[in-house]
Amino acid sequence: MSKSRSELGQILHGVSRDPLGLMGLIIVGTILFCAIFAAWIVPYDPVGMNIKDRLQGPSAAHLLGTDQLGRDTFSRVIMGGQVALKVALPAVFGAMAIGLTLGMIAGYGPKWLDNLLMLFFDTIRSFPTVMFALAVVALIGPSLQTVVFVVMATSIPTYGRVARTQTLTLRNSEFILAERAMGASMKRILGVHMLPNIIGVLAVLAAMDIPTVIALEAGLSFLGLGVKPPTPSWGALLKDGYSLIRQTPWLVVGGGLPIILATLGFTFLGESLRDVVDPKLRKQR
Amino acid sequence: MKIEWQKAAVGRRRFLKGATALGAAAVLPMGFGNRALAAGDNTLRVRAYGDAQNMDPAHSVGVVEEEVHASIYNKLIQYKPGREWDWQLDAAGMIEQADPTHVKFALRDDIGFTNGFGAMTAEDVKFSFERIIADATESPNKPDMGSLSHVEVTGEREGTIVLKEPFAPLWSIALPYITGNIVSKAAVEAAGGRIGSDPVAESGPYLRSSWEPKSKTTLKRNPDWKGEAPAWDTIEILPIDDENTAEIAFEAGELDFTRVSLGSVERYRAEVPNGGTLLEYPSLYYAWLGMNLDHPKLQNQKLRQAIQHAIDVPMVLEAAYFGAVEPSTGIIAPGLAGNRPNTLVPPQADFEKAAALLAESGETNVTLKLDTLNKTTFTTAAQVIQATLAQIGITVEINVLESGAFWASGDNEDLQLVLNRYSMTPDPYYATSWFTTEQAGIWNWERFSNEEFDKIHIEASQLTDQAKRAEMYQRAQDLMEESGAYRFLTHEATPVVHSAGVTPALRPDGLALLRYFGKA
Repeated sequence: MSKSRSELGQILHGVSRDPLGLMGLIIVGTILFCAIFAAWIVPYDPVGMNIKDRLQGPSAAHLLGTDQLGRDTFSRVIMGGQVALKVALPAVFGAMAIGLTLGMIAGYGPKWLDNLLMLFFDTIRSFPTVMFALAVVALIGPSLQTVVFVVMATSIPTYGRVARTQTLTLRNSEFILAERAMGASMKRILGVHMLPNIIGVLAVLAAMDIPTVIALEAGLSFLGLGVKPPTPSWGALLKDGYSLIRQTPWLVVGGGLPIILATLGFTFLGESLRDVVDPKLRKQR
Repeated sequence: MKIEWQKAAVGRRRFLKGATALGAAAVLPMGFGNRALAAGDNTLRVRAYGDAQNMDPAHSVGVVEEEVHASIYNKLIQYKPGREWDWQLDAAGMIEQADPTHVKFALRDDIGFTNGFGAMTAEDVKFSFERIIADATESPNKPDMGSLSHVEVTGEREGTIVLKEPFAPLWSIALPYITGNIVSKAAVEAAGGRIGSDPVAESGPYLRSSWEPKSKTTLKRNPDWKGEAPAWDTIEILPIDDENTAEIAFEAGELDFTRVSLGSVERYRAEVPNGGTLLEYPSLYYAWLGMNLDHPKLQNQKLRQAIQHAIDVPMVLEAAYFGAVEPSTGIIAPGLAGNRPNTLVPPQADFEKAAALLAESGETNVTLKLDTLNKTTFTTAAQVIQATLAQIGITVEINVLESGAFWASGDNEDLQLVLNRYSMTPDPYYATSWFTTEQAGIWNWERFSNEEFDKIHIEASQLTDQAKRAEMYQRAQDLMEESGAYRFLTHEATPVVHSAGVTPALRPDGLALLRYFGKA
């Protein structure tokens, strides 16, 4: 336990020594903090209407002004972060878990199973993500769960392929051959020996994927097909802001800035993590 | 071979110089590129919300194409610009209703078609009108011709329009709108019976000189036009879908005329840039909340009435339309025969009455789905309705749909509540036609079915007595509201702005009649 904590500490130390990594860590940390403690941070009910106070500019009472229904934009931005992470984290980590499992089975299992799973991955990857999302939303209706499902389904092949490649590389390495010679079960070989060698690469990939997922959720909400109103979402804020940009620019700022920051933060963090997890890459740069 | 990478010669100073030059280039068009009505310019630049792609009136898809058709073709009669619905003679020198099913006309003798297709004759009128109703043409505009039977040609320029039965909208829709455009029989036949994206022969005061898809349609003065000379040498029609973009273009001087968003009305009321003018016109569109009468959750009339009373129409309009529109009393707008002075259910919410009706209904834990289009106006209205219905204990889940899925909702049996908006032409017949039993599950999404309503729809369209027609259409809307399936919201509005040098010519619903646009 103490060993793993020390590894995490080393990784964090490595990331914090890189200026961009540190910036990413701070941004991501702030977003996570705001999302987790959103209920305590928001000054107003994010869905509480007050039409008389609509479309106000920034003030001490409303830091980012109000929207067309008089709702506090700052409160909706903070709660929108919670929604973005509610979509991004389960979708990315769900896809990673399923992709990892299927990829390892494909890489370690019999050839026919490998072929079957690769066909499955390629079939899913052949659908353009946004078109697939629109089709699913049209069929089962927009909701948080729909967005999570779409993102998860379209991301599984990416993780699966990486996990398969890593497994294929490791399966003939000496320590795995030794384990097999000692009669270790497949479960033990995959879970105890291969997993720790693969998970780091996938974690980096996941960190880089989170902003993509946040942008996809925002994109669907921008089209009005993401989370259902009145649930706040950065994409929905952007959409309303775009329609009302001649009345107030602050909705666009409120919806756009967190998406930019989240994208930058997770990308910086992901790149820095990659360097720390794979020092060879750092030397090459 | 060794490749040597050289440092790009972009120092800080050079970068700043470049950025400054780029910035200046970006700013220049704002200050010096004011093209609309520049000195000596005889070009009118107007915005359309779409691209006019089809020059065949039989296959016109609406207002966007009609703006061009009305300028390059002629009709027997045209809408008269102004605040009240009326028509004026166009290609007809004379037109009269001989009896309820016969309309006699005589064409002017000074209208000719381009490309050598000669003078306009009664044969052209017969061809144009009968082509619309012919099954082979497959014209989506056929219903606008109502009960047209045929056109009898009685002379080179004289004829009689023969109806199967009286059809009052002939004068308000069929003749002065899309289906009334007269095309050249010889030219269309020479083109194989179809007109595509290019007009085969034109006859109006303007000719379509060029069309750049998705970019610009240019109309030039017709040199052979013998009627009253149009004011502008050239009209450029720019397809701009987004109203914010159109407003920016107008303020930058790139447009002389455009519809503006309702959210901008307050700002333009204070001041229109460049010495322009804001004109506010009512609209014929109608928006309402509908309830599917066939859905198991909405069988209870008391529940539907509770919903009617719990929706606060002024609050919805204030939030979604910035208070720039008035509550409607039905599907027929003010200015048209059949507009009701009041609704049966007042526009303001009455939560006590709504709660009492809900209690009477015996329904508890009511949860309903409200379908709406993914436009900010509708999602905003839906959220206000959601909040107000919550006050009497009805939970509403908003289901936002993109336009393709939304407009396919007609046959969706699971539809419960729907926030809807239909377009309209200046005759009540057009409005009631979508709510008949025959239309249930097609355009009648509420599945409203009422024998008396269906009868009124047919009989009122055959009446020429406007007072009697008005009474019948008012009754039809009472029946709709009594069913509990409708909460009427608004007819919206059409705010437009025009630049100082333009005298716009508009229909009473604010739509442009470009051929009549003048100079200030």
